[in-house]
Amino acid sequence: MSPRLALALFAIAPASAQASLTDEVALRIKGHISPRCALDLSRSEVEITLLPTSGQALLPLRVDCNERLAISMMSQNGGLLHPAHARGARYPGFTGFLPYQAAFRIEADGEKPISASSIAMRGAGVAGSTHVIPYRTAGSLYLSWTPSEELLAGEYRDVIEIRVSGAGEHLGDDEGDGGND
Amino acid sequence: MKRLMMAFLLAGVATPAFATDTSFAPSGATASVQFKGTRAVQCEVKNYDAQIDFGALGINGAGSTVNDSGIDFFCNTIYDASVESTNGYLKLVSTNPNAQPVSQTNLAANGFSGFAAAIDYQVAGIFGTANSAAISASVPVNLGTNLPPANITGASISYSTVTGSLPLLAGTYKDTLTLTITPQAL
Repeated sequence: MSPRLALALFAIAPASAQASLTDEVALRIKGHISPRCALDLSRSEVEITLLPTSGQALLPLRVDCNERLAISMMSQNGGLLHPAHARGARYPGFTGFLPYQAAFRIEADGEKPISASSIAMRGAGVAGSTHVIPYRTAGSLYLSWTPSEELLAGEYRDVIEIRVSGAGEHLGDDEGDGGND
Repeated sequence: MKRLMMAFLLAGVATPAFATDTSFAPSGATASVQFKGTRAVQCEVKNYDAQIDFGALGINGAGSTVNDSGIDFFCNTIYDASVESTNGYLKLVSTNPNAQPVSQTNLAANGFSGFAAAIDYQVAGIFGTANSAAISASVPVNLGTNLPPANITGASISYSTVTGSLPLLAGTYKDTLTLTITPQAL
């Protein structure tokens, strides 16, 4: 359920000053703030220099949500992919596919990073929650990898799609739950 | 009465929210980022002897085979390989015009009949076997095109002279052999 701000007001208002005529009006007022989650990546492309050794890349980002954040991450290739590997070319002792580990982090107390391998992110991707409400909060997408074989020379590419949304829960009271009645 | 009217106005503003209260769809956003990594081309031969010395040669050029071991060759892309000899043979170091070989195929000394002023040699190793007799001076000989990426450690190359039919003029014989690796795009 989505969170909402609810306010109920009950008023018993005498309609007149006459003690003999008593009128009673019950008034319920509620307000609603729409759930919102926005994601701002600092860049749409990150260039990496690959070496035979381990490496990492960091993409700063900002998240602005008014509800607990849920994210899903999808990898187009399941790793950094070389065109030759994509064509099916194989060379013993060398690889054109470099899987990585991705971690989505929010700079907030109590945050739980969402970490997944690129292979797991292929297809439907992986989903999780940071367990915090990141209101105008900085964060990062951190990638790390360790080649298991020598890397073929050339360009490797992958596209990560990140979807942020509310965790789908109401933090306020539902109508009719009797909270303010 | 005035108070009552105000209350109704407030209720009128809030009412539409109630209608969708239980069906709030979580809002969201999607963003994509492309990661582009580049692994540089790296092709190199390491740990090889830059100078091979056959030592004292026999009368007709017979000599011991020289082994150069522990050579590392790495190339992380497909490549073309060629070898080139400066002289096309081991050539007598001399400025005397009579002590020059007649031609690439006739190694006899120009002006000293019965003697040779050059000697062929053979190279065997990473890219197969090559005889300098088949390598013309300063003309690269193709060893292969689009050869697969290689990561070879501890390879050996052996060098040996090819005994000729004529005795060699006294002196030092030299050549420079150049291996060229040309990386190609995958």
